Amino acid sequence: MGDLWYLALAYGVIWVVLLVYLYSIARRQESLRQEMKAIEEALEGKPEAEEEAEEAEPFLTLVQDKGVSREGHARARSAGGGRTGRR
Amino acid sequence: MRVLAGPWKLSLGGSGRRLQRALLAATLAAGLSALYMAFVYAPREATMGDVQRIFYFHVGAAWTAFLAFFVVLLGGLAYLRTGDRRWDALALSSAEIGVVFTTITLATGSIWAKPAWGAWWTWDPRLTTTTVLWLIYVSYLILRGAIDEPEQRARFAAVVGIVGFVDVPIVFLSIRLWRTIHPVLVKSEGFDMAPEMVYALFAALLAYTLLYAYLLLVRTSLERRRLEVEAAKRALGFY
Repeated sequence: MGDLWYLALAYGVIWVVLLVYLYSIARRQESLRQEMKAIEEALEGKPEAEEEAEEAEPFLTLVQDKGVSREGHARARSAGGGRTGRR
Repeated sequence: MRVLAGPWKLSLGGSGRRLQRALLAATLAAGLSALYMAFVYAPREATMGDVQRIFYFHVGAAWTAFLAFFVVLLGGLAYLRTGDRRWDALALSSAEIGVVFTTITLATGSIWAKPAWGAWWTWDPRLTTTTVLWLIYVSYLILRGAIDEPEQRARFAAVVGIVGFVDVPIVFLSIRLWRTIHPVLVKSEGFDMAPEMVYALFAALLAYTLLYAYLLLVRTSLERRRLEVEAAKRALGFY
């Protein structure tokens, strides 16, 4: 194998490692975004929250199982300084 | 998301996003310049030929890994001193990026070793201590995954991150402390290479450093959002 083959392999490895890492960050961001959306909808008591929860991550199953109590809403609102509405 | 605002509001605001975009643009510009300098501007090395061009990004990755682990050290110390989990988020993010760059260093070094030394791997002191460094910070990440209690996790991780940094100067000095076949880059009289090669190396170092800063910003932002969700779940009584 010539010099250029090793050179191409080294630079290829750099790009692959970086792209895999960026992809993993993007996946985690998307997963977290879905969790945050489900929490918001659970707090607002929207009926579609349950449908969303079916598709989402482990925490969403928790939302589905437990439901969100009135106390939970109150605690979240007080912990959030009362600013619990949508943007 | 506004619902997660309040005491746990940690995610990037508008200025943070602007900084992210500016860093991304700077990273792309520096990366393209570094590629041009490594492949076109820098002369072909007389003994090794074109394969020596791996050097620019191999050394750049090693430098970035050292920088990342230094930030882990600072984040760990700051967390132990203040107990503020934002420092822990910074240390975790930097450790993850450091592992990525150490992986690049080991992989590119191994690929370069084959034509230069005739073997993909030797248990040379520099290679061995770098592998130990990689293992230390992979263990740091595994340890974090194994502890459920957030405060305990952050405290243990801070200690591992601080102690683990001891290996960084050992890696750096290994080629001076022990007999090795790994080349010595900086000698007492300066860089042992043509000036064009030194400029190309610095271009690669700049590009990698900017890339590190960009990745750190993105990864820390993600970690802080995760803390927001954790705090919201706690407030809702899910823990």
